[in-house]
Amino acid sequence: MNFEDDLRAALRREQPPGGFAAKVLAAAARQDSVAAFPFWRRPAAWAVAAGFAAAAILPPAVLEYRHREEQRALEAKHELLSALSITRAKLRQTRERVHRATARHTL
Amino acid sequence: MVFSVALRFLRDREGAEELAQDVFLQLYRQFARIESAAHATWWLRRAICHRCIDEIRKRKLRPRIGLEDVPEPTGPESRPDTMLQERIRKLVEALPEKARMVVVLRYQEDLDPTEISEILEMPISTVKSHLHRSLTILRGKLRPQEVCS
Amino acid sequence: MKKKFLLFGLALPLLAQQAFDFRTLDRLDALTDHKTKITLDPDMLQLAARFLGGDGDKDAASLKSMVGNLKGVYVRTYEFDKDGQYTAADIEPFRAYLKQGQWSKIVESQEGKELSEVYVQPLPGDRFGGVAIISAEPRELTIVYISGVMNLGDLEKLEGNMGVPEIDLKNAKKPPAPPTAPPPAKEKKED
Repeated sequence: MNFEDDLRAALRREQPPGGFAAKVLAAAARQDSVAAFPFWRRPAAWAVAAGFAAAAILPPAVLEYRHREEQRALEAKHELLSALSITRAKLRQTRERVHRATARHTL
Repeated sequence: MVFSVALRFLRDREGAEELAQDVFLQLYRQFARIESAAHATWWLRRAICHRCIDEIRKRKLRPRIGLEDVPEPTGPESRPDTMLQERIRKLVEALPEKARMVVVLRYQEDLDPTEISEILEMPISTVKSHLHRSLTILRGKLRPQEVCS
Repeated sequence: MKKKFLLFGLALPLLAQQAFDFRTLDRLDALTDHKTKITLDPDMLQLAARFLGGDGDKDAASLKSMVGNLKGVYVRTYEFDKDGQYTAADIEPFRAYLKQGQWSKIVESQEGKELSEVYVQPLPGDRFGGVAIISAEPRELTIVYISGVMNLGDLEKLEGNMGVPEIDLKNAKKPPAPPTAPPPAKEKKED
């Protein structure tokens, strides 16, 4: 193990104490209701959206970035489909085992 | 994640729990603005980091001794791995606040410098500089045989 | 107000419990070359979902909708050359993690030396905070951990097709590599 591995091991996450979620929920329930955030008070979001709409030309660096992101997205999609396929196979395998066990028990 | 980041930063379980609860309550107040689970995670990370740094400044918990003054460990180690990890944690906890947060986000949360720079609103070069300097200091404070590389 | 509280209450156990640290299985990495390790955190899932659905395929659209609620998808499959390469102790940290998160074991099936366990993390109403599977055979260990709010229908979808291609687990082939990006167009230098 190198030093960075030692560092990761030393800084491994710690779980919150028991009952943490319950305490937070209890505190949330006690809170006063918050005024809804009016949609018209989002100047930053509107300004950014307007800026992008007005920009007709995207610099090459942005196009390159987008292409890399697309590539990452495709790889992620392939990984996701593999993961779901394995999940499906294992769930079906489990179901078949349960059926066989049930059938043996019935006989 | 939230509690753990606060714990590593504040060195205080009770304080970490309190801060983590506060951040979750903050999330609750902002819940209508949260767009997805990923957004919530990103928001929580950012919030806990900034709250931790503010809390430290408020409490003035910065160590009275500089990192360079942390005494070298002495004596034989009976449980090397556990003792080493404990010592590493104490050394990390003695780092200056921003460097400490960068190290925690890198080695506990496995974030890359770009993600760290977004969360802490810090230039990437500064993030990398904190990482480099902190690793140098941490390695220097450990005994040579404890640093395997 | 009540709805917000309920939604927050549903999400809180997920946000408060951290993802399982799969580095506890790193020991098994060194024991075999035949392994599948998939790690999709929220950011990667969001990226993946971008290319799902959108072409009128109902199954894909259904899958995209389910993926949108997921926090993480983690799969570890190890195939070994001989029996006994891993022990129950290797799986114990994962079981302990599920126990701590109050996951419920909904199925346990043992057939000879082959064991299957399916867990869900129950939430109020007919919802789950995730599904986990441990499949332990003498020469193969698979752990699946899917975190995120889902309902019974989603669990059924996981077992259905949903436009997900079959893979041959025994001769698992990697998915085809996505097309490589063309080099960025270089700006013409002016003479």
